[in-house]
Amino acid sequence: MENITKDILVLASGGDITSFEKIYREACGFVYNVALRITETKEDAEEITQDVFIKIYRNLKNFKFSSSFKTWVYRIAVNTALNHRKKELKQQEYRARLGHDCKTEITSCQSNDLEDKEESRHQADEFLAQLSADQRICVVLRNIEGLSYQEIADILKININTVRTRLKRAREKLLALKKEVIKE
Amino acid sequence: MNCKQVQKLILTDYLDEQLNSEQKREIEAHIAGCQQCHQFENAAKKFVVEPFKRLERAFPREEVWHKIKREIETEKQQLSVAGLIERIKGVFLLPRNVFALITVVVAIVTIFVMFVPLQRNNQEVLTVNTEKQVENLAFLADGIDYYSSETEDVSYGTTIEEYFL
Repeated sequence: MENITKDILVLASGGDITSFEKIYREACGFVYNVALRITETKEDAEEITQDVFIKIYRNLKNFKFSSSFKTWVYRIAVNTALNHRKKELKQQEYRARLGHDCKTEITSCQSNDLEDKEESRHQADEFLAQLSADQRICVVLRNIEGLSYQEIADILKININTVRTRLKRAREKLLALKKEVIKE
Repeated sequence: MNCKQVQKLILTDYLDEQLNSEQKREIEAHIAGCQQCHQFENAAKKFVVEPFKRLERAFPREEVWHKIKREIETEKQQLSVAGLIERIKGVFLLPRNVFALITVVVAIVTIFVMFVPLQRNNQEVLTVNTEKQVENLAFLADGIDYYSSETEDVSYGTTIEEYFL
């Protein structure tokens, strides 16, 4: 992200596709990772990445250089991923109400989940799945993206102590789960 | 600082290295002398930090960029067509005040064009009429002079006419 200069941003906001591609190459990694950890499937993460960069392109003209571009992009990514997840959960609830029709859908969802879990070599995804959306975002931004508490607070527009509390509760939950696993 | 407070900090600022050096030293001193907090610290590092450290950063497929690029280019084309339409509209659709000014100017010019030749025609008609009126008045004046003059010497040729007049 440090390689994205003001000149590149200005050119991209004027519609220069080469400059915009530079921004994409620099930022697609973290946008995709945040989306992947929140939505859990590669297809959704790619769809969110696409949405996020279209939003960035459309709103680049309105970007105020007073704030950090990194924070701005993270905020768009987090909000888009959260909205996507909310829609997905609503659709799942709706399908569940539809009776036998949803059985095939649920089966396919479960198989997708299983495939994803098989692909995932680490416990992190399983742990993240146990957390609420708010806690999960804080953990992703801190543990995976390595952002400071202040940066997370700026992205989510919340108090720094709220960040601290969410991280603490998420980690307590993870430790409690681990204890259960060890006991079993 | 008691164990509860220390463990709370271990789960947040200590693990995330958000403490200043003095606070860090204080926590480390407590951990060094407390078996329970020492175990807690180890468990937290092992189960809360390590699993995420081992995660590899994933990247979207190249196809995602191509999709984004296509969408942007389509949007650009639509915008350029819309921009052209707007420009054409701009040529024909003037702002209200300019439109009002042009209307006033056109009205003044129309009035001027219509009124000035009419006024000239009226003057000609007036001049012609005045000349005729002068002739008529002269004729009437002659008539008056003629009838108001001495009539004693005038003979109408018949006696009966003389009687009536």
